[in-house]
Amino acid sequence: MLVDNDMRYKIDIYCITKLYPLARGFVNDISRPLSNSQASGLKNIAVNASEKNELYSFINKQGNKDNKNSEFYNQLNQKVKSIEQDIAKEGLIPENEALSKKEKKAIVDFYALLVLREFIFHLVSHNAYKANTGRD
Amino acid sequence: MSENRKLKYLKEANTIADQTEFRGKAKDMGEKAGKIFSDKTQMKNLENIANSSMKITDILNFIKRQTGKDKDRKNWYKNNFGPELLDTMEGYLAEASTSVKQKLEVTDPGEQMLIDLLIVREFIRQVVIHYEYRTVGQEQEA
Repeated sequence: MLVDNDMRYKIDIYCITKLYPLARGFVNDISRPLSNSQASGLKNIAVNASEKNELYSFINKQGNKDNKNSEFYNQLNQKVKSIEQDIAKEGLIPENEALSKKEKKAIVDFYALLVLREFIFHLVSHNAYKANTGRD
Repeated sequence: MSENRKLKYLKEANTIADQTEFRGKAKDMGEKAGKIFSDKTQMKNLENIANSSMKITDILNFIKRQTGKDKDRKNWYKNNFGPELLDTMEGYLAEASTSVKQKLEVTDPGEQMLIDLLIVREFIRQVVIHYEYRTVGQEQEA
């Protein structure tokens, strides 16, 4: 699926004005940042996921593990859900009434993954910075 | 956005970039980089990211990732280089950009995004020039 320039432009603006500060705030508020290897794993999933459910599934799986990273992933689960709810409100999903319900859902999921991927990129970058420097 | 508007923003970004304080900060960062990076790759990568990105957050993320990776404080985190560059971008350069937006009464978020980018690109361009000037000097001394 191709993203037209208008949508790309809207997503870029959303990225700067909303996602970047959200990701930064998320990492700053969390008590324990991810290790670099864990963060790389999360980024790889975000890059390679072809459907948003793959990303959700990874986050859920990590959150259900009883280890030091579970808090991070459980909080992340809540955050990505709230971003996904915000995407439609912000007009980041192109509307086309002529499409079937199934096709519309595919478009919603595609744009959700695109935006969540951007959020994860910001999050992983700030996580690495915060973990090494302790700075917000 | 019309080409005229883009040119107007570019001209204003260049005016900001020509100010003594702007040039001084870029020179300080470039010279600091010269003491840290013996290999030109990192500064070239920074310049490439700045020139190819469509949003300022890509540049911020690049600096954060590089600084985050430098556990031994041998490059991006050495002498606080990465954090200082980020502070300059989010402090001084952001304020400079705000002054341009206010002066030209720019309210469109996309046009605001472009002004941020033009100012940061110009700053990084100057940093890299000072960096290269310094490293050429070091090579000649050696």
